[in-house]
Amino acid sequence: MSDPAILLLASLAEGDKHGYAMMEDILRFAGIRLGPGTLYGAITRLEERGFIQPIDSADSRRRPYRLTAAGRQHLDVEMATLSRIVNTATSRLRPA
Amino acid sequence: MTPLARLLILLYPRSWRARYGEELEALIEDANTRPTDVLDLFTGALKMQLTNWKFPIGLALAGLALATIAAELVPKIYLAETSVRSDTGNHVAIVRKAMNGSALVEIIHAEGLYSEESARMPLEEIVEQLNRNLRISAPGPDGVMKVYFQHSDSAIAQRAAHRLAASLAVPGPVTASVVFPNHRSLQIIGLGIGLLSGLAIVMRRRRPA
Repeated sequence: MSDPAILLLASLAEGDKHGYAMMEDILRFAGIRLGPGTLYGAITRLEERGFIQPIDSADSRRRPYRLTAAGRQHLDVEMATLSRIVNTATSRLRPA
Repeated sequence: MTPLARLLILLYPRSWRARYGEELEALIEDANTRPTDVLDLFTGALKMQLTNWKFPIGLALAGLALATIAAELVPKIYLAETSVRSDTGNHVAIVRKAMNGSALVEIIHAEGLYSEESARMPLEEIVEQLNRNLRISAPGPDGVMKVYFQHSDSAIAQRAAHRLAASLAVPGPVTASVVFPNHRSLQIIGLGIGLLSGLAIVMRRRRPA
């Protein structure tokens, strides 16, 4: 589970964050350090698709992003799919 | 590492830099930049360029440049052309005389034509090859016939065409032009392939995942 877009949405599901805060949060909860190019590539795609949006900030160089309703819904669908995969794999690895 | 990482931001498309450039620079300042981040920024910039509509134009120009280079490197075939005016009415007879086997063998030896092939092919086939590369047009209303001969060496093509024409009558000046490869066609193909590939890549990269 290392899709940068999903990791980023999962990070923003907790609250608004700027780039560096997202990078640190993802490292903390997933143990994956996204490089700056990968992180901003994902931010660009997610903003284009309307899943995240920037928030006005006094520091325009460290602009926070917010998960939109569409982004929350997308993350929900992705997590449901992932849960099914995890449950299936787990039950197949450890048959009753 | 940070100054190099900052420099790599310049590889991103201008429009992208206008929107995210300062944010990415702040992230590079805040994060403890690692050597792997340099590669990450480079591939990130490359991927972002692949979504830029200017990319197909760049690829089309690259295709044009490659086609131009390829056209220069490919061995050329030259077509030498000259004309002769024959005042005698029986053109068919003089052309037959000029193109009979022994006359052509004489030209092959005199000009050293097909020296590589002659080591492994019988003389009849060499003469046949010469025949394939030689063309004499029917005379026009003014009695002028055109003599064409094609060869990979421009000077040999011109000398052989002159010699062939001289066996018919007094030849005019000889000119030679490249008949293969066709530079313009190759360049159009290179430009087209580059442009279409670029458009396909950009459309694929911009399609939502």
